[in-house]
Amino acid sequence: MNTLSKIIGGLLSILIITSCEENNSGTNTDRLVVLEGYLYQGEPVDSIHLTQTVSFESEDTIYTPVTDAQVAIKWNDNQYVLQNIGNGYYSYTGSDLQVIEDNGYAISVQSNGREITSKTTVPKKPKGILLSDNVLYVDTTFSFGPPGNTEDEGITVTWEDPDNDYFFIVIENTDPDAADIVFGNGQFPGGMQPPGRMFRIRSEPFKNNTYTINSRSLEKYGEHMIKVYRVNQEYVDLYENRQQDSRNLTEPLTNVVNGLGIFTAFNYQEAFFLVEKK
Amino acid sequence: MTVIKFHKSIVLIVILFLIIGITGNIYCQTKKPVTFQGRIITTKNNQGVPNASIVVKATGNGTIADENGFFTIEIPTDTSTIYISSIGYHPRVIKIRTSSDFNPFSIKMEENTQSLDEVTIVAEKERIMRVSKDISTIKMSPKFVARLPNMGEVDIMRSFQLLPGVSATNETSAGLYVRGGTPDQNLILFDGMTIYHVDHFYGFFSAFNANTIDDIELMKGGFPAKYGGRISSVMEITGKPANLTKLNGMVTVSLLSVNAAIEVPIVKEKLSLQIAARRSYTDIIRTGLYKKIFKLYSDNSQSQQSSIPGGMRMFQQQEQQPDFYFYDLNSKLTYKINKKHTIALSLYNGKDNLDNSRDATNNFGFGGTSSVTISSTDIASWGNTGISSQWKADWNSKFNSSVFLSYSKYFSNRNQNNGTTDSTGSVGMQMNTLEDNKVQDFSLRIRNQLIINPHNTLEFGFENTFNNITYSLVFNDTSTMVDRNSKGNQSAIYLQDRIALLDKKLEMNLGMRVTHQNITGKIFYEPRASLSYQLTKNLKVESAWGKYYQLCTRVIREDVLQGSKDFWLLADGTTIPVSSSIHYILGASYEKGDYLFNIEGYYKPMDGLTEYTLRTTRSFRQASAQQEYFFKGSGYAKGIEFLAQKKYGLNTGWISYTLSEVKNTFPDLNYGKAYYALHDQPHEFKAIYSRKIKKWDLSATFVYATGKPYTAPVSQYEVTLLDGSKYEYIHVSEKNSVRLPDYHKLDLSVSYNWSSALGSETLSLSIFNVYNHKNIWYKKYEIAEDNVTVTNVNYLGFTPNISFTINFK
Repeated sequence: MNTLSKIIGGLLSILIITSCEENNSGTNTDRLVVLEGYLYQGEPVDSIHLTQTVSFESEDTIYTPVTDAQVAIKWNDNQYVLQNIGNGYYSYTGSDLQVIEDNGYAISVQSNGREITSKTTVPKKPKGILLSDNVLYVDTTFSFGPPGNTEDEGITVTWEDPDNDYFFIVIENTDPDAADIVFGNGQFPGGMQPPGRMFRIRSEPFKNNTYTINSRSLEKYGEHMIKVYRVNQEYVDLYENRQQDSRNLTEPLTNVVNGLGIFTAFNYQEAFFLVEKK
Repeated sequence: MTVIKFHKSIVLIVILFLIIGITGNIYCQTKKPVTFQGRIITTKNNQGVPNASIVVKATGNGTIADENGFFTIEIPTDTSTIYISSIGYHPRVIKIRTSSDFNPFSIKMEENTQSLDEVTIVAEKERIMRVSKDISTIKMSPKFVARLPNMGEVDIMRSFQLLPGVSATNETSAGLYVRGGTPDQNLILFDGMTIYHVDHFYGFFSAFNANTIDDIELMKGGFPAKYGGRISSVMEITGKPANLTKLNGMVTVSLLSVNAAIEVPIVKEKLSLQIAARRSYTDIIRTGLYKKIFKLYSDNSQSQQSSIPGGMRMFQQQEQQPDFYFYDLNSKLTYKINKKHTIALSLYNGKDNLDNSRDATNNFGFGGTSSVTISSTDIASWGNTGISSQWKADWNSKFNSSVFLSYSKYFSNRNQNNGTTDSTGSVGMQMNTLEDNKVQDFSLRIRNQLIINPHNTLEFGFENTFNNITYSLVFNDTSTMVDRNSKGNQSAIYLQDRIALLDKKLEMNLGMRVTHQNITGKIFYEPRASLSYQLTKNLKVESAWGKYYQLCTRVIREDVLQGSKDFWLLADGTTIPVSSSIHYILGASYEKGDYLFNIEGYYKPMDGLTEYTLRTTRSFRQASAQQEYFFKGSGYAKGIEFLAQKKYGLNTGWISYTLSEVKNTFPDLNYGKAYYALHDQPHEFKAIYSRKIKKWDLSATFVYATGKPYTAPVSQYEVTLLDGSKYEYIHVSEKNSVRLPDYHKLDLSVSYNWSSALGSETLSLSIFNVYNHKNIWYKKYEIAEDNVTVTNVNYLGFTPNISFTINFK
């Protein structure tokens, strides 16, 4: 039995030594940084936002902003350090960091001993924007039905899309004194306003080179600006998977390495049209 | 190019066979040996004793009988003594004068019925586990496995899990995880029937009734060309031959189940019927002791809830214990036509029912101001049915054949429904999953063995298997995620040659298997080779290499919330790839006195692995519009096993340690990063001890293993989109990046044996998980609107069990 005892002792020693190398913690509670980084061509970098994941075992009740990170953007082989402006937002105060079409940008976030990185490229500005008309006439005679169920044909916006890219549309009223559009003399059951009234509308990302502006989707008379944004794949990935299925917990795709969220850039071309009563 | 290479391989192997055969014959001629050929049979029914060991005492040379008891050995021309032993039988010593007097020769062995009068002989040669002379091959006998702690049923598969290289932490799966392989990658043959699922009783027992089994051999890797269709290991189970002379019976009653068997010689020496049946009664009578002990010692029996304050979603934990029952029936009809021909008909039928349903009311909000009731229905049933006919023909002392014609069917159904109701009675989201998997197998196996000379045994044969496999997965009664019905036929031929050289110091087994499958239309070439060399009297080095293909595979269905499951499918070469592996094995064993030391290292690259998951990455989402989310990948398993065994004496047992790693890489999963397989356990230590003291048998088993990896929802976060809308997400860890706590438990057993007028009786007490360690099987997550509930689904805690067995005279 002595031999057997020695063997058992030897093997147990090996086991103990090798076991020490393994981390068998039951739960991974590491907090990951969630990056929301949106760059716009021609605009300053002032809205990089950092928060943390909240562990299920944590007692936190809000998403804690990350305020002590070192955030830098690399562009043209230069590094630009962003400043914390509060509540998890980081901004670059200088004017030498410019967001330019077709340029690549990389972000680095140092937080809690971990480096989070991501990169993106500013897409090309959409070209060749054409409006079918410069004025959209609104027929305010009320009728039930979905937006678009009117007699006006709206304005069709088209642009060039040789690479079959993703776009989204933003329409904003630019006239601060513009009057509200009132349908049906303002007489709706229960005094409610018609559904879908928005001062500013934003479409989902889509693959197409045409968009129709319908009067039913507008709220104000006066001058409006339409922005046609070219969108990178990473935003499409996020948008298309923004609803999480609780059955399989598929998360939206992320282009952030070592963290979560998104770092992307947009480029847009604008055009203007007027909204008037028919 | 690959085909050409394989053709070259065949030619080379054939040439090698010829050269070796010729040199073997030359060697024989120079030594002028006398060939002693014989067959070992039982005194009980004159059936062959499989895998018996035959050793010439004067030279120490030995051989192993085949599964029909035939053997050929070289003996000196003068008077020789041979020693014959086999697990479960009394050893025999035979003196031989000349080979011509006795050739061919039948040697009868008497079954060891644990007679206490012969304790000295029995104690010397009884071994629970026996390392075979073939590499990576281990044998066990149900008779001695019975001494190990058990849950009331002697369990073959559970006992094999105590061997090095076989995972011992799967209490809810009787399947074997052998050297980084999964249970579906093991070929399990029971009297020629392919068994597709071996779980019984919620996985606590295997589907095999030990009372119907004579011998089991497990080849952990590098198995010869005779076997195919799987890429990990082979387990060949030989059913107990029927008793043609005497009526026998036995009954075992435990706190969980009853097991009875009877052997009836219908026509003496000609026709015999064997029937064995088991059924658990935990669904009908939960024995008072069982319930009491469970309540006293196992927290698992009650749902526990603890609220962890804070977090966006409240997080609660609870424990659960499922309800279950099983039954099975084995029967075998044996007809001995004459001394050379025997036919047998085997029948197997078994079914399990598992009800894992429950309701749980959880209080949420600070101060428990609101509550939600989570109703969970989870009903599963699965089972096997099989029938096989066997014809064994001993044409002469040098040539024998076996023909197996079999049909087996495996089915598995699962119905899960989860729903929530809040304190106001409002019904929340209902989620329903229906899963149905059926496997049918029609097989014909023809095996032939030709003993050319004592140094050269040739085996060749043909196999044909027709499979019909269906699988469907439906969510919420309407969304059909998978609906597959595939039929396929595979035919194989094999040739293998076992050759001994250099005074039998060098032994090799070379072979080739060629398989054709009609779905893929491809031919698969599987060369195999194993080699062993006796360096000294005590030290042997051995190695094996082989290529393996698998055309019928079990796919993992990832389920982060409720533990991953799996299902069988037939490879089609497109959606479901053909699995393949190459085995590289190198080992050495040292035997001295009562001790055996064995070390084996292995490396197994694997390709054509399949996983099903709804969690996908971009490239797959873009590429596939199909509803069937199957992913293809590759992986590897590598490891080193240490075994130290004390074979004989009053104290016997073994300790083993395995260091291993199993990693998979799927380009479209886990962002293409390699991840640990679900069954990866870097360290596994096992200690098995057995002692016989007069009428008492004592045994203990201890198992320690690293916790298994899993994928877990770990946190949540929020992302604001361009329009200012905010979306919350649950963040899931990297695939299998979190590990369960380490697994360990100690089991004890004590048995008392005595004889009475009725027969031989045994009373056994087993204590499972003696120190009541909570080993977690998996974590189950339930996500409602504002809370996440995690359930630790545990393996059994402290569980004693008493069983009484009587073998009627």
